[in-house]
Amino acid sequence: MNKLKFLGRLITADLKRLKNYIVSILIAALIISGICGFAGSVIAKNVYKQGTKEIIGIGYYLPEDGKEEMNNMGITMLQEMESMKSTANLIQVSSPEEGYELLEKEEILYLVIVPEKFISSIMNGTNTPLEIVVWDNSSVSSYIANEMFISYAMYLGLAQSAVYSTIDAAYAHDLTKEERNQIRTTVNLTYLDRALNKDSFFDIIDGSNQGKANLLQHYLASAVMLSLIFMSFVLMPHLQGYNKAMQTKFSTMGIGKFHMILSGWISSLVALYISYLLCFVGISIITNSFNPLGLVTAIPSLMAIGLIISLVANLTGSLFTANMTMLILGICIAYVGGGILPNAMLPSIVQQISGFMPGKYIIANLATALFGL
Amino acid sequence: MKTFNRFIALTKRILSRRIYISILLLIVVLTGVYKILPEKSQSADIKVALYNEDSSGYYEDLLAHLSERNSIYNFYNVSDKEQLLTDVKSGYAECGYVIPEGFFLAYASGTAWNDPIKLYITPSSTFHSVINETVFSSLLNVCAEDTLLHAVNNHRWNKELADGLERYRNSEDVFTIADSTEGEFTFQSMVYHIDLPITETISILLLFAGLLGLLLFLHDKERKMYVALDSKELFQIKFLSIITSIIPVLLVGMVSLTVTFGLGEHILFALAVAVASLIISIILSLIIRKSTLLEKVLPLIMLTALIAVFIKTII
Repeated sequence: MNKLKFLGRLITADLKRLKNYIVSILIAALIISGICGFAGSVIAKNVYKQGTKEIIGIGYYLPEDGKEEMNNMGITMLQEMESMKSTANLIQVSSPEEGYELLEKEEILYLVIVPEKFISSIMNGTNTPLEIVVWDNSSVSSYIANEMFISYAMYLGLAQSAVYSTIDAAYAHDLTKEERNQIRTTVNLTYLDRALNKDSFFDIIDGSNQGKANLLQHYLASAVMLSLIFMSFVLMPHLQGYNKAMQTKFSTMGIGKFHMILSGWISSLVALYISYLLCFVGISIITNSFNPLGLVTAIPSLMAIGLIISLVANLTGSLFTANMTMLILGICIAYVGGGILPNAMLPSIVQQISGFMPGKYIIANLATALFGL
Repeated sequence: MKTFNRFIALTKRILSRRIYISILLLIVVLTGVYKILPEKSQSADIKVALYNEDSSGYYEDLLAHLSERNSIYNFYNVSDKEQLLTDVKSGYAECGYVIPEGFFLAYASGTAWNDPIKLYITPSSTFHSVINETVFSSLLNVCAEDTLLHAVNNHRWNKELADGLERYRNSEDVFTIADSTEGEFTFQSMVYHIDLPITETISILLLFAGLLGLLLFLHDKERKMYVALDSKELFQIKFLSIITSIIPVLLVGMVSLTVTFGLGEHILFALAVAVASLIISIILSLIIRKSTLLEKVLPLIMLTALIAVFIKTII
């Protein structure tokens, strides 16, 4: 009974002593959360480096065959394709010789020499061969361009096959010229739709933002976790405030290490809650959203961090050792929990142990609490 | 001579500290790990993940068509969507396609925009628009017959339309482009050492060593060890305390960098960081005069330095 009474007194005394640290806690919370929040937002923006790729120069020669309008329509259709827009730079040359010069200067990788009446030859099925000159057919760029051309040709070849098959069937069933034209146009337009309107058949989703919290929310939650862990730099003198003489006196009253850890845990929890409030208000203002439930749901994370701080404070000999231990521990917890690099980018062994470490769960819990996910 | 003796004494003292020995060992271990770890080879091919929810059976045809093509992209099937997302997010796959239930038939009938394919990318993805051409041309190839039958919409003609399509697509009467490349592209296998942040670690440890030297000086001063010295000598002791703490880390660091990268600019960089660490420690000693304050601030300085190095690395 006496032991419990003394423990109660110890906890009360620790909480009273904590009052002296309130200003330091608030200032430190501002500084540390500022540093960690800045780092979190920078990492969120840069962790996936913007990809860069080489734009492939493709030269083309269009003949003066009286079908310029049709040829230009074909080129415009090609230019409008997303793959062409993002990968290639189409350059018209006035003569094949000019094209060869550009090839030699390596300003273009491919030269497409369009023969006379090319488009009409596709329409009537004679398919005059297209001449494609490649400067270097061994580079990645040339393989990518080659694959694009083959894909375009596949669309065209399939559309032709479908149209020819339809016309054959129409003749076999004695359709009138008007009916044949109508059915051919329908088939033509159908295949044109599949080749040109690809964008309507898929949705592009940024995979880096997939999951419960998006990348920024994840990193802000991670920054809050790190800020709370590093609040230990301020709390350590408070938690290690009893000298050897005091500790000996405590032990005569039955208060041992376990009780001191327990008391330290409770005062850490209070201090962390104050720091969390500051982060909570800051993030609510920045994101212009308020999730009152988050004031309660974050408590398990605060308890976990408080316990770690109290354990380190009571199990290490000096302030310096305790602070350095918390620095290393905080970074390890954040790294293994996916708070520094996304979980998917971590080595597979780290991903496997991540589930057994607190970081992953603390970040998820804080993200839920802060953003109401 | 007195200065030299002080230098030796302070060096001996710092080298007897366990924390300091750990710093030196960390550099040696990092260098050893870098040297001992076998070189890792990695193919730089462009991987594309595919996940199928469609039950019509066309997916197998699509996969077969994609693998038959002489494609520069390496298409592979994943058994669950989570795996696809993990592969895309980690950069293992350039992008990932999730094909929803009923997509193939909807594509053939032209109504697939209701529930389209989901293409997962990251800001690092660069080739998805050209990969789309390969995927969609194969998709049209697989669905060509259904697309035609749906367009004509005359059940009595189905067989002859299908036969005609098959005949023409395999004939030389339709437009094709000959492959302008020479066979299958083989990405040069890259062989590399695992990239350990040795230079960054040595930089951080040099800063830490300087501050540790200052901390030890403040401890000694508070124990009244230098009470008989005048301010000039006190500054000399402080300077020596910091520099004797930096020099062993610098020497071990320089050996480590030479072993790792060879003689070159890394050595000059380490020297510059050592000078910067000395200057920072001297400046801090003018502001922080109590060891307890430095003990509180030191982790914060180290944290800021770590964050700065990390941000520099990822940017």
